[in-house]
Amino acid sequence: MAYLNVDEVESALIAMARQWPTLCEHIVLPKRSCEGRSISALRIGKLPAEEGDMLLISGCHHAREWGGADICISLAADILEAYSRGTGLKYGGKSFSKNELIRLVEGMHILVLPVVNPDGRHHSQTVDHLWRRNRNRSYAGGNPTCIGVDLNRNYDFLWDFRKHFHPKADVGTSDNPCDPQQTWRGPSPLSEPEVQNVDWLLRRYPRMRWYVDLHSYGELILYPWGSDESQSDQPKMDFQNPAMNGKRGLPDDALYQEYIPAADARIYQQLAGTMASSIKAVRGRNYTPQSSFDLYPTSGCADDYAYSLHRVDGRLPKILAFTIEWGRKFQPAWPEMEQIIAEVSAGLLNLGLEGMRRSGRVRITLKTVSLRIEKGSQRSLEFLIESMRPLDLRVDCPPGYEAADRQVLAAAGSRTVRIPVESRTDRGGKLLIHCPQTGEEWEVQIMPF
Amino acid sequence: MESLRYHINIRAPRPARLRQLAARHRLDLCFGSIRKEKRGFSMDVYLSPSEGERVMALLATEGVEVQRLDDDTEEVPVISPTNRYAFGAVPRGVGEKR
Ligand SMILES: [Zn+2]
Repeated sequence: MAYLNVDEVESALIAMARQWPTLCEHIVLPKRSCEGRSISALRIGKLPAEEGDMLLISGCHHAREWGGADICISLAADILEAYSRGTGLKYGGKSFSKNELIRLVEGMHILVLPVVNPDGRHHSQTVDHLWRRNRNRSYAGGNPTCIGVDLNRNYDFLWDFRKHFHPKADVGTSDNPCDPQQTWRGPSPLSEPEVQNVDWLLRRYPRMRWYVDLHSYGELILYPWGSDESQSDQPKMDFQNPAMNGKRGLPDDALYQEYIPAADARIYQQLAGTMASSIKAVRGRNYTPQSSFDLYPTSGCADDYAYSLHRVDGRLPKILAFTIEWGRKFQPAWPEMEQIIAEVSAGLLNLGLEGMRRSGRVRITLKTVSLRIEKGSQRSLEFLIESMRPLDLRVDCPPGYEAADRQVLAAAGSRTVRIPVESRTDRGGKLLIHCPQTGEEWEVQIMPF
Repeated sequence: MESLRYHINIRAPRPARLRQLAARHRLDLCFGSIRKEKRGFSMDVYLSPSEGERVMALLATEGVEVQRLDDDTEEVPVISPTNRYAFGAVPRGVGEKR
């Protein structure tokens, strides 16, 4: 076997969509690459696209980090084949049961974008092994070493590092197109078509919940923030506050720390930790979970951007975003890459399952506003419920009425649940219903005839 | 393409110093290439043999803590020469289905 070339990645996505048309959808992204290549993604999931939580996985922002694409294709093929054959999946010492595959395919969506940067990948695979950026020639002034933008510095998150960061902060980005580290951020945020495609996906689905951007190397699982250390006490000390400009990015200082709600910080650590244990179970490699800033300050990265979106625009869903730095080199020999594909796949499947289990959205909608019941008869309260975990609905009745508590089992999609209420009185009253798992409460007026 | 078999590990007290060295010597650097060690930070770099010799010598004269790791005798990775999925063949993942 060998690494996939760029044409093969596209063909592989199309082939899977043809083979399993009811399980996945081939999505051609709106923007072509700078050299005119078509870029596409594959959505795996039986629910309609706007229902069910979604995990986006992207590879190959950075051209030379070849394996990200191969991870995406292999993972998609594994899920589709295992689900359609009714089996589980095993990666070394880590197994996923048949029922877990069913939950992944029927209860959520996994969206893979194997190659964000096909021009760069092609260049890296045919001309220069260590090419990192895209192949945008517009700003190179004819100098071949100055071609391209670092796509993972081009996102609209504290992009303008000279304005947003402390002058002494050592930010891993550059405003020089010819920077030898190839970290040029581009002329403006989201300037590159390849980055606009990712942005389009992040905004398109109302239930985009998790995002993993695959990079190499380092055996790390990174999570926000990359701008500074995180804190949960001062919400005003955050990336949107212009009063904080010029203060960000210094380690071990009190000048600035990026705000993250305590609950998010906790869930980031939990999810990163559980991914790391699944990865380790495959063949024993230790991936270290840590915040991006623990490495060094960055600006314009995809993970911070994805997680920041809901704060900038309240209509967008909260996306918990991670960067996995897989492996110990950019282009390991294929037998080693296969092992890496296995371990990272295990981590990603685990993120989907754990994400759904821990924070998978539960939506309970009470459809009944009031009940008119005649003495001696029965009417039903009606709920519309979406939940991937079992729930209880407890009912407190006023005197003269009776209703049984109801247990609702986990299931994919939304469905109607009815609770019958019986009347032995001709006096009215108030029904109180509550769900101990979500803490929600509802009131329903009862009106006798 | 020349193979990148020369693997060196560079250490420094701060990541900034590593990035400075990387910039000066045009070394390759990704986001995760810098690691926190028990003492200080380190960075792995893969180079061609001729570049490797040159950079090692230069860094040593600058007093930088650098060592060659000889774990890297593997083949240059192979890229698929044709399009395996051009005619509808479906990719297989690396996982065992069972
Ligand atoms: Zn990268």
